[in-house]
Parts: sequence; structure tokens; C-alpha cells
Amino acid sequence: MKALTLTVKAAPAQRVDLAPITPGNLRGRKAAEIGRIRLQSGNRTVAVAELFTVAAGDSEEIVIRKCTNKFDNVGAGMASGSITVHGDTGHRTGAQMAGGTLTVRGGTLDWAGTGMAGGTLVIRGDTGRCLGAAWPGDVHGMRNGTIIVCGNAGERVGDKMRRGAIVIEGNAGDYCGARMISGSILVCGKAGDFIGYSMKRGSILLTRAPRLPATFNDCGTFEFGFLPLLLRSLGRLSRRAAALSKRAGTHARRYAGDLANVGKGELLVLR
Amino acid sequence: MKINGVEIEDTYAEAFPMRATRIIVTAVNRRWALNAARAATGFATSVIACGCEAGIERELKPIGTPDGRPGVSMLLFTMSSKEMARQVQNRIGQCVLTSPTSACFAGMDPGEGERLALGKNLRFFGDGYQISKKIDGARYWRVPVMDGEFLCQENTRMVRAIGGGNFLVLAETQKQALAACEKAIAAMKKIPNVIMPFPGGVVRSGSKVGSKYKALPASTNDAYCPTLKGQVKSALPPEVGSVMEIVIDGLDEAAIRAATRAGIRAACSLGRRRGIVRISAGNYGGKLGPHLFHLRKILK
Repeated sequence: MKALTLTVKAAPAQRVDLAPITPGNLRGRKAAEIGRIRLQSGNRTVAVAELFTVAAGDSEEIVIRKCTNKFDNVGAGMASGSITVHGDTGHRTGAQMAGGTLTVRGGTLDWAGTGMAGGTLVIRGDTGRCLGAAWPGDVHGMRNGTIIVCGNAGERVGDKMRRGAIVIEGNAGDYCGARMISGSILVCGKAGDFIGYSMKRGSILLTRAPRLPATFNDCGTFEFGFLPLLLRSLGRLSRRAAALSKRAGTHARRYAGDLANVGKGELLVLR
Repeated sequence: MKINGVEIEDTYAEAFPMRATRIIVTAVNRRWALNAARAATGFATSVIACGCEAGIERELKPIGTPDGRPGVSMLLFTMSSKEMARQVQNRIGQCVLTSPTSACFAGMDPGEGERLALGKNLRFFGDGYQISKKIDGARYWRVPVMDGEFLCQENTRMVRAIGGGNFLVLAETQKQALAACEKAIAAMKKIPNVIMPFPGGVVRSGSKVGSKYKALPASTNDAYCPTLKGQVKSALPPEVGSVMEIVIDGLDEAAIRAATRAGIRAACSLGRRRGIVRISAGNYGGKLGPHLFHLRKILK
């Protein structure tokens, strides 16, 4: 069965909350019913049919075409199925995701994957700040799942991240892994300043030595048995991770920190 | 029924239900993987006094292990889930965690049987410096040790299995019985999902249920002891001078049947002319367990 396809008619002037468009929410609904779903846009609501041309199909497989970064909360809260977005998305892409696969073939604005609890979020372009980070007032950032960013990421990747894995194939901004509680972040390019700032636990994997914060101590270079398992797992979703999995051995230089906090986190620089 | 002139007795092996798990140990090379596995499966010939029956199922090439290093697959069998938890914790803790460069993984599919702690408790050896990593839905523990890190999967699975499958090789001399058993073991080691837990896979002290001494649950199988032929109601013909047994623990009946078939055929390959007289089995008249392996049916 072909995918349920929503094609943007014209880029909206105001921001639009696309959270209701998830496989779970559209299950069993006909195209006309979907067209009548009201979407929040600023201080008013608009019908899906006003913004999109809806082509009926399997609601477990949604395709959004000609998307722009005016659409927020794309795939937010989805728990199953897949959404493929052709174009860019706005803020909070894949926020609170619990399962399924969300693929954005363009870039996203800030807060992608915030509060994510499962599933896979793939961003082919760049993403903004606070990827997988804790939304203000939330105790934790992403709690599970996997995020792959093929481009660059802004500041505060994985802020207060609790579990799961993030791969940045390009560069990451400042405060990458700040206040991290657990989980793994792989940065294939360069990472900005204040990496792992106040992290408690968790692993930040790097391919080149970072500008090391003063509160991280060098432990030396060792063999880590978990690295092949982790890189092979991430390599199934990320080409760069797959290449690293083949190229990098099991050796990495370990820096422990942030010693100004619990200090049981680590920066691992792959050889 | 005869194979190469060796008589296959019309009897059955009697086996009993057990719990089993498979654990994979890897190390920097084959030698150290075997060192760890041999230690972990040591003193595990019989549940009568060892707590568990364990053995090496097979060696694994790097491509077949979770971390891409040479490995060994071990099978452990116990009489209860509780005993299995104790045995796994003690054996992995004392024999694998301690072995240089080792890592330890679940060897069963996630959906099989019930959950069994593997590194779940061993992680506390890390004294707070242990690190958890969840990869592809499975949790692993990285425990800092003096040679680097011990990587251990948090849980494995435990399944219902069968212990005590067996057959007896009756030969004219001890040397001939041993030769036949060695041939049998070589063939049986190629069969997956089974172990032969006794030394070299062969046991010379087969037992019967019960004893004249009340404290003993089992005692020597006098009917098969050649030196007692003139003293007890012997099951041995006059020409038999030595009997050896091969005990098989398996994950299911099919595996035990396959191993029994391969073992008997290999033992019989020496033939009557080289002193192999008869193949029999440990038949306890229904006292030992509900699983019956009829030799002639298996060899048909």
C-alpha cells in the first residue's frame, strides 16, 4: 500500500503546529477526515486541507512533501510507523517521540528530539540548538532512542540527556553533552567549547581531540570492548559511524569528567 | 539390531528436565577465551555435587561473536532456576571476570525462556565506577578492572532443557572402550545445543539411583561393573571387560537424539572386530526422569 502523502500547498505565513499528524493519530481515518483535522497556527486553527493536499494511503507510512521550517512539532509524540519529510522542519521536530522512524530530508530548527523516549530520528541536513536536550522545566533531555544528524548541530546537543544515542556526522556547537546524565553522543566532526560541561555520566565520543575543559582529567589510551558494539549499532543508521566502525579500532583516549560535578562521564577520543 | 557387528540393545536412556543457559565468552585470542571458558565450566560434571553441569559447546570465530573477537560458547545446566542464578554469578564472577581481556555475552535469543542475570550483579565489583551502555535494546556493563575494562551483558536467558541423555559402550577391554568413546565424542562435538559434561566427555563411574547407605542418592552401577560379574546380578556378557558412558545434556530432545545418533555411529565404526561388543543405555525403570531416548528408534 502506498504512503499517506501530505503536500504543502503554499508555505504558511504563521508557524503551524503539526503534532496531530502522526501515524497513531491518523490510523483508520480517511483522507477527507484527515483534511478536517485542525492545526494550531498562532492564535487560530487551520484545517489540514487548507495547508496540504492529502493523498490517501497507509497512515503508518506518512510522507510530507514541500515542508518548510514554519512547521513545528513534526512527528512529535509519534510512537510507531514512519514519517518522511521532504524539505525542512521547524522547532521541536520529533519531540517526545516514543517509537517509529522520523526522517527529515532537510534541516530542522531548535529542540529536535527534546524529551524523546524511543524510536529513531534522522535529520539529513543541519539542526539547530538543543538537539535531544531538556525542555525548560523538564528534568531530563532525551530518555531513549537514537538521533542521527548528517549535517551540523548547534549548541547544547544532549543537554541533560538521560539515555539513548546521538550521532552528529558534522560539527557540534558549544556545550555539547552539557549536564549529561547518561547515554552516548558521537561527534564525527569538530565539537565546540565547553564540551561535557557539568556532565555527570555518559560518553561523548570524538574523532579529534577537543579543547579540553579544565575539569576533565586524562586517563590515557585504552582498549574499550564496548566500542565495536556501539559503533556497529550506530553504523546501521549512519554512514559516518559505519565508516568509523570499520576504521577505528577499539582504542580510545579517555578523559574523565566533569570533575566539578559527579565526574563519572567521559570523553573518548577515537584513534 | 547391529551396526558393524556391534549389538544395539533394545533399551532406552532416561533423562530428566533441567534449566539451561548459553553464555559466550570472548577474549583477545582463542587461547584466553578458552582459558576463561575452561575455568568457568570446570568442576561441573554432575549436579550431584557440582551444582551444575557445564561444558564448552563450541569455539566461535571472531565473525560469530558480539565484539568481533575469538570466543567460546558455553552451556550450563542446573536442576532449578535459583541454582542457575547462583552458578552463573559465581562462575562468571570468579572465572570470567578474573580472566585477562575477557568479555561475556548472552548466548540465547532475547525472546527465549526467562531472564537470567549475567552482569547485573557482577557490575557492583566496579565499586561505583561501572558504566552502563544500552546498545540495540540490551544493557551492557563496563566494569573497570586492572587490565582495562570487563564488558558484560546485563542479562541472558534461561530455558527448559534436558539432562542425563546417555549411552553405554561395552567393550572387551578398557583401551577399546576408551577408543570408541573418543571417536564418539569427536563426532558429538559437532552437534550444536549439547554438551557432554564429564572429563573428555566420558564417564567411567556410571551410577544407579539409590545406595545401601541412606545418605547417598546414587551409587555405583554394580550391574555394569565388570569386576563384579561373578558377585552381583550382572548385565554384562562374559566377553565384556570394560564399560564407559557418555552423558549428554541438551537444550531439547532433538539435540540429544542427534548427538546420541552421531556418537553411537562413531563408536560402532570401530566394529565388533576391534572389541566393541554392545551399546546400551542408562535405563532406570522410570525412576530418573520422563524423557526416554530409545536407542533403536534413534538409530533407525
